[in-house]
Amino acid sequence: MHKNLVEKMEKLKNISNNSSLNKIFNKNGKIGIITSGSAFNYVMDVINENQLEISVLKITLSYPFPDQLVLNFIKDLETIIIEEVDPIMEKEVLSIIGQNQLKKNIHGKLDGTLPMIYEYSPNIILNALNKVTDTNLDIYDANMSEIKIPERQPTLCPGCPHRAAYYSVNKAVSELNLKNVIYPTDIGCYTLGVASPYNSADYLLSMGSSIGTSCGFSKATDQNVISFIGDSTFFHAGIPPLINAVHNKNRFVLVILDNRTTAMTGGQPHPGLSTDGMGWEAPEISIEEIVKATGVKFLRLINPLNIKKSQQTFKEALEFNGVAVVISRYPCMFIKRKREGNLSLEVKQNKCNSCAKCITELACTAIYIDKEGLTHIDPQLCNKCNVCVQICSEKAIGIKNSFNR
Amino acid sequence: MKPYNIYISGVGGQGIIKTSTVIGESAMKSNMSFVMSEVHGMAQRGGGVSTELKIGDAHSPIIEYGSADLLISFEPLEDLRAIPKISHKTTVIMNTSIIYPFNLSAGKHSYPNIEDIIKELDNKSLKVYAFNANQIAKESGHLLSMNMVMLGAAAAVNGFILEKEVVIDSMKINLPEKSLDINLRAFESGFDSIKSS
Ligand code: SF4
Ligand code: SF4
Repeated sequence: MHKNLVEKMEKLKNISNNSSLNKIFNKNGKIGIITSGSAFNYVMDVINENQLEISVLKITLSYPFPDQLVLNFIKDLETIIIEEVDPIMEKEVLSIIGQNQLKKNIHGKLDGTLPMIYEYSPNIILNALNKVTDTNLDIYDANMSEIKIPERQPTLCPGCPHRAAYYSVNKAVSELNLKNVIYPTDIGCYTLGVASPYNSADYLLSMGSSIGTSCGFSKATDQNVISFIGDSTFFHAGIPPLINAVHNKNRFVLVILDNRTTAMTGGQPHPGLSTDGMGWEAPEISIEEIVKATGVKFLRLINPLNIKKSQQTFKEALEFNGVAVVISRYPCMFIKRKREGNLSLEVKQNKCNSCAKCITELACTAIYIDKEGLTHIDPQLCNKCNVCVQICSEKAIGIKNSFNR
Repeated sequence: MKPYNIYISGVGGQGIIKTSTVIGESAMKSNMSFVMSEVHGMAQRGGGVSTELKIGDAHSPIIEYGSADLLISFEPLEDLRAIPKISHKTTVIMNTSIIYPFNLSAGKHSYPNIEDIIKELDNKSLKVYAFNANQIAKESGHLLSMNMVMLGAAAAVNGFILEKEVVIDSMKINLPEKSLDINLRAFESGFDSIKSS
């Protein structure tokens, strides 16, 4: 088997050496650039705009590396390797130089001509050319704003069920007086839980890593671990680590944020829904049944918009000695926004004591404080999830019937 | 042919990608090459969006610092963020209608004064056309046609590389039929607002 593969690679090398995918452009000048991917585009723009005499070898079929082609190309040229990310081609070229005992310098990331970091741009290429040639090219100047520009950060939508879940988890943690809780998380809108006031995303490695890393954290520390994963990510990469968590007797709380879609990337379906990727009807795979089958002994289902019940459930989960799973199920606001209708929510100014907890603790983006310091709800943004109504200690948020006004 | 570079910036939900698609389609209809890239990380969750368009002979879809011929900005703050891309050769079309960034500590850093923003851009570009495109869009029939107001304005600018008629044809292909009339009205109003200024 291995023999077959080695022989195949030899044949492929031949193909790669002769493939039209590995192509030489602008054959002229004393400088040669070996490049690939989007770096090729920047190189070509720089050459064309400055009318430079530079040969370019564009590598598209890069494995097995076209050694003969490269050897012939670099022979008589001062060579620069321009590639993004790691210096893979550069090392290949160095090995060709070594094998053929050539006395030759090449430029790239390893000798500092190009930076190891950043996506490339024409400016980075111009700088590199200025370093190793006598071209002396003009670098583009960036104007800078003299006015300080406030950031525009993405946040959870008004009424997002994740916000409600984070709010309740935080309340449960503080009511149980837990310190140093570790919050592994995963990839989705809920990663925005990293922001204040939620602070519920400490660690993220890759898709599905929330559960696997929770196993590690729970073994290595005696801190409480609360882990978050979305419904589609759970199907994608959450099941094997959950099985391991139970089997290895780990102790942590796993919150499956089931918003019935893959929200962050635009609402694609997943196996937990009754529609497949083609829009056909499909069997709905139950998250509950999967969790039960892994042997989890603590499993609860909550509606995160019900704050009291959710807090209570999270508290119980935190006290459980083992893997405790809470499925927090409510549709994404893109599926279930309740903008229509005549009812809207308002802050009753005679009751509101300006504690601003709906802003500092819940931080719904539909709630704001005006110039006079009064709290309001923007009816254009509010999705009527009713969470602020439940958390206001003064009972100052209520329903108004805008139809009558 | 040296490419004509258009940088478009704004906030998620303002119709920037659609506008870019219409421009791209118009370029191709005019037998010109077109490359485009877009940055829209978490746009739907209230973040910034920008697109970079190059019409003509270009390989890479990134506009180098100071190389935009035209900046179309849907929101003043995002206009400021685009400043590295502009130079004294850049024409700026800006919508003066503000979308405040959601910020927990409102007041910690406040939104810059709109007059100051216009002045800053004026100092750093060739010419600034500033107007309330939201208002014009509403008058044309719907706020959501604001992106076509901006496109109409672009089509009226000196040196804009595409023919107005071709752009209108591309709108007809790319926009939903039921809102086409409103969008065409918005486009014409945007066009007139530049021609008459
Ligand atoms: S009901 Fe309250 S918490 Fe929910 S979206 Fe409206 S303002 Fe925000
Ligand atoms: S898109 Fe859905 S899941 Fe994402 S932030 Fe908005 S409501 Fe939450």
